[in-house]
Amino acid sequence: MRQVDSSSLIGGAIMIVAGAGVAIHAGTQLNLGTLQRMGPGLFPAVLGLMLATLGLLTVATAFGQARRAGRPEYGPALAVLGGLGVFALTIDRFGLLVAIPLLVIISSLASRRRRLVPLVVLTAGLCLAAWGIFVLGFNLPVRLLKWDP
Amino acid sequence: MDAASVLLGNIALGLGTALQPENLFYCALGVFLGTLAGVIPGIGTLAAMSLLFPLTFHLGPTAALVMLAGIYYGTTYGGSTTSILLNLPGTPSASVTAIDGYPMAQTGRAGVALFMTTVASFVGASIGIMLMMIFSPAIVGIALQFGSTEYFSLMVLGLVVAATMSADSPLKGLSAIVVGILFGLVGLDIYTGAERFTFGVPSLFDGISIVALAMGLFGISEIIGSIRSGESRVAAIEKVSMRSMLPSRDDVRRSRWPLLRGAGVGSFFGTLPGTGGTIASFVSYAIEKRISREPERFGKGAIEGIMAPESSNNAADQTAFIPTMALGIPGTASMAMMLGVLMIHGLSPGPSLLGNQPALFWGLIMSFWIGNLLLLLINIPMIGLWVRLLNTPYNYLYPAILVFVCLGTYSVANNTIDIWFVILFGAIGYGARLLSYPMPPILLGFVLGPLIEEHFRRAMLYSRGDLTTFVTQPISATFLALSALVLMLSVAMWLIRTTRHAEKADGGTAGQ
Repeated sequence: MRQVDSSSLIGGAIMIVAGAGVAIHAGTQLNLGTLQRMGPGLFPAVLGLMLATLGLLTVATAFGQARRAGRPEYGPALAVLGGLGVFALTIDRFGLLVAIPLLVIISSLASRRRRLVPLVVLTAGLCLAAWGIFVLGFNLPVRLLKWDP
Repeated sequence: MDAASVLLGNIALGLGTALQPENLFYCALGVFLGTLAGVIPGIGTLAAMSLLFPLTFHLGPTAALVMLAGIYYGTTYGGSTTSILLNLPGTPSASVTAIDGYPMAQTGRAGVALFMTTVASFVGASIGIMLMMIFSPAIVGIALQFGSTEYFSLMVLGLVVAATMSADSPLKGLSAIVVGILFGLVGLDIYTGAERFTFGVPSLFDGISIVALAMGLFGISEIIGSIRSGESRVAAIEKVSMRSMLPSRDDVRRSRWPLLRGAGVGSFFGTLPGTGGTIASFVSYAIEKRISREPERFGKGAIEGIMAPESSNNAADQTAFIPTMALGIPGTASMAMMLGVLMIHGLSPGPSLLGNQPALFWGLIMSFWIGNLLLLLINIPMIGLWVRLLNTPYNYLYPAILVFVCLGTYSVANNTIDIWFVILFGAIGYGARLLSYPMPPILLGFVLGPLIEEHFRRAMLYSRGDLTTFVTQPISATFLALSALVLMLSVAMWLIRTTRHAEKADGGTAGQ
């Protein structure tokens, strides 16, 4: 039975799509110019073609290799990226004292070891440190609390 | 004036800059934070540098460079501590140290191992710094003769070597470089003002923020990957007393030559693109084992086995600055970040930097001495504290890191748009990790992308659109020939490796 390196197969396919997309966008939306007077589109168009070619080669060499793509851990990825997203949504609307606790709580969901008291202490400490370093230290114009949904 | 007095003048200038209270403070802060990050498993050099990158926005260019450099070489010191005590390298370049360092700790010689690696790090770094002081001005002299054609080819060489060294598959390494260059081209075209890949987002006109890119690729993806593995870590460490650190006479005698050989090997590998401390430490360990009269001692706590790699990776850390500062061409992602700091402060990296900003250049070099001296002072008495820090549970650590990621990113432009880019690049980085695409070449391509395009366009303008200019000019032709050679060699080696793998795998299934 022949083995397939799924990481090369998926990765190569992504590179083909991305490379072709870049080349088409650069070739149609931007001026290519001539070699002597290169337009803004020429360099990215060539790079896009190069990327698509590399992707094709990656896919072609994926067969007969034992490697496999890593298993994604959706929980940690979702909790970390989601926590950052909630922070970005809340910092300008409700202030530091809402955004930081939300980030800490949401990102902590990824961990298997969760206990309430250390989490509360951690959150309080981080709010204090953030205020000390960024508001007092760097004069970051951000409010501790506000209501501007 | 003879060369010696010029060098002395430069040292005086550098010391004057590096000893200014502000720079001294940020140097100390940098090496302290670097050691801290190196000690904590799950935060490597790149993650530490990118996480602390936004802080440098609020500083002057010299203080910013000094601090970021301190974080960079500080992690190498800290990384060896966890290698020895836990058999868990804090940074990849310290993984060889674990081979003999951990057995030393198991036989009750942890103190000696920690003390001697600190000494090895200091000596290795010092030799690297001296080489940088001697060779940088000479290289700048040559590089000032280079035109756009030569620069383009030199950058191609650097990127090709970096791409093929950093990945299992040269195809994936090269893909990562191209992706990085494309990210670097986002924004307004410098010649025509045309918008490229901005999709009408005004904050993208100046390009993608290097902070968001580095933070997402190296910081966030590393956190996502370590949450589950970081929890299973159990640290049980004995107390390390000052008395237990004293090496025996035999230790000192055995250490002397490996120390110097390591520094030599490291200094060489440091200057090459894409290699850096990790490969340097592996090679110098292999050399020591090969030439040793008692190779059977290696792996069982031979002191030579920790001295050579530690001196080697620290020397490499320092000599990596030579191409970065003298040519403006970084060989590794960490060095690309150092260039990023320069560019953010409006300084153009390259051979003219030495002439235009001598105080910054020599101040940075002298800060390396001071920083390494501080590391010696921080490390030896504070080993006990670092050991205790190893017990910090990761599940409390990473939410704290995320808070600082968010506020750090927000503080750069008082804007949440960069946080969204951190999320985007975090997702890209995690995907790249799963598909085993290397990430350092992405950052390298990102930083060099705009420069490589500019030099290509200028070379085309001068040669009236004649592509053969790259191979008819001798220096450029040499660089391109070397690139082709590296490329062919790495592809050939990769093919041999994979077919051997496949045969083994086929044989395995046939036997069942």
